[in-house]
Amino acid sequence: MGIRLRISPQTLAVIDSLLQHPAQWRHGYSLSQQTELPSGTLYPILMRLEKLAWLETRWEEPGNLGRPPRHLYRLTGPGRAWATEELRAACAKRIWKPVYSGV
Amino acid sequence: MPEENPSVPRRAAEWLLRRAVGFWPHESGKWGRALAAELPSTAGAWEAIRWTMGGLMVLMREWMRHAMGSWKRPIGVPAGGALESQWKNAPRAPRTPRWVTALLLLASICLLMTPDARQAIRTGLRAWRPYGGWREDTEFVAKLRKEASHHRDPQLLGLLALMSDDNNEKTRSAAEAVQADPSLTWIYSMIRLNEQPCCMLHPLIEPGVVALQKWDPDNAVPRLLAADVVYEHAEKAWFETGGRGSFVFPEKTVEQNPKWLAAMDSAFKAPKYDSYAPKAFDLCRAVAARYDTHEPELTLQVMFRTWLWESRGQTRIYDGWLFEQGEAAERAGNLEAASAFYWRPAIFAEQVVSQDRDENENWALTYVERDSFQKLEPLLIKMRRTDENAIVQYRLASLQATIKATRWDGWFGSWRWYRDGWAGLAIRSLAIVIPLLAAAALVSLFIVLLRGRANVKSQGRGFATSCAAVDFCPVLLLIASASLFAAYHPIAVAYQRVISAPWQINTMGDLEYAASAPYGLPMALTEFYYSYFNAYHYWIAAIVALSMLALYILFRRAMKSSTI
Repeated sequence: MGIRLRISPQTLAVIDSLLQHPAQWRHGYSLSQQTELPSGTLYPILMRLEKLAWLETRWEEPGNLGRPPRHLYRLTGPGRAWATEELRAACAKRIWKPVYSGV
Repeated sequence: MPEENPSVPRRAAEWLLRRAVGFWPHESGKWGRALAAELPSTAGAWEAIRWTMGGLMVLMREWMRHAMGSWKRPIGVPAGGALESQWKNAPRAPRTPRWVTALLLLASICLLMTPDARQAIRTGLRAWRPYGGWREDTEFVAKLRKEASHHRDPQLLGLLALMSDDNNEKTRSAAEAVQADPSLTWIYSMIRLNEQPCCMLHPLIEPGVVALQKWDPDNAVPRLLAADVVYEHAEKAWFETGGRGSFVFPEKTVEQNPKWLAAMDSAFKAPKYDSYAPKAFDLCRAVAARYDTHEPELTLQVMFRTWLWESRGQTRIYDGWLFEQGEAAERAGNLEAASAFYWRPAIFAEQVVSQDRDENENWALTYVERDSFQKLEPLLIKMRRTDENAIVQYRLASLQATIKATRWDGWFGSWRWYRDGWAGLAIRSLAIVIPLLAAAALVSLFIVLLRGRANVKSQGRGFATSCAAVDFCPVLLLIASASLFAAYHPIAVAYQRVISAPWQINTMGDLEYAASAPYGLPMALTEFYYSYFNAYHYWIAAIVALSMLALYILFRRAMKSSTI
């Protein structure tokens, strides 16, 4: 895929979670709960993925009173391909067993 | 969903994260807002605190990245601002990355913090004072004066007696120094008071000359100073008569004064000649080392106050008198007597040159010896003393070759430090340029930092100038600092080598050069500077230059308004 990320178990957990329902927009907190990663670990991973254009982001439509619009995330097309490939490679090397995505 | 009555820890966590978002770097600000937007979804106070702590860690990481990334941008160009996309081509934005600017400034500071560079700036600025800055009102003289008031160190008092411009301090310090350490009696030979003329007539000077004669009876110098006292009396009498008669009246008077003639005869017959110059420089070195005052100007001040101008003046008068006596004897047909009169200045000059290592003394006496041999040569031919004449001719040719070899370009040409004065000019100029460049760099950095965040299109010509200054001043400052160091370091090394030599200095040339080089100027500028230097000329030049600038600006404005 050109650029290679340093694939840590935490990153694998995030892309595994994002691949569970690739078309669905996810909140940061739900990702954090699913992967059990604290915000201080999760958000730098998301920021890196976005910088590589493998993650697309958008703001929630304002609607809920009393709370600010949330930031939503999902993998882009190339991001999904890359994530799938990385998860498969990790499986082959036995350093990761997909939990959510079923890769 | 947000809790209706959040607990205190949760409220604190929310407040903290909200505040943190305000401090988020501009380029990644949305991630701060994203983190904050998730906080209401967290379940429970503990979860909210954990979320906030994670957010703060991300904030720190982003600030670190922001700070590291900012070094790649020029100062005043914020990340994600209007300037960032166009700073490489924009005329109103600095183009040098911060890390380059910081490196240039750091390198300049390192160079300027070296002792040589600091001394070069101090000396270079002093050198711009009228008459080379050889004045005693410098900070290190004040420091030495303070030390002397505490310690009453005889050597320090002796040095102050040589350097001070205050007559009372001079005489008092000299007397106290000699009383405490009689080996410093030679100081009396160098005490010159500021009452011009007749500076040797101060009531405390004459006893000093008497004491010097007793302390060093075989030396010609105290005898010359005794003759000088007689001369000063004659000069004073001439002034008191209102200067009536010939201008050379005092000289003619002393030539008929038996006391003066006896003193000069005694000086010319003295078994030794010692101008005490090496002692003066040893004193200078000892005091400089003891009180940690390694300023070349200290040496200069001693040097320019220790030349035996008066004694040289007496020698010149006596030589003239001897030549007159010789010519009279020659006319009377007494060739033996004439030969004896002509020989005496040459013998005295030979004695001085062979015994005294002061190059300035020797230089003057080279001419005396040459004049003497020029008188002797035809006389010895007339007397048919072929062998003696051969020696005279040989010495005369040698002296003339010495004089010819020494370049003489006007009054300053004989001094070595004026012959290669480009280093002096560089040091003087850079001593002014460097503070100006440093000030320009700092002011422009401040302006660019302060105004850089504003809209790029709102910046005026002043901002564009500041941006150019931010780009160029650090580079120029480093070049100027390196040039100053390169120009002064060899001089500083030479000075330190001489001033810290463990033996007595007999050859003053190197020391004189090392101490005086920063005060030198190229020959073409020297004559102009010292002939025309005074505040009046510089004021006129400044007014003319400013007037021309004003005229130019007015002309430009007039042309601009007429074309609209």
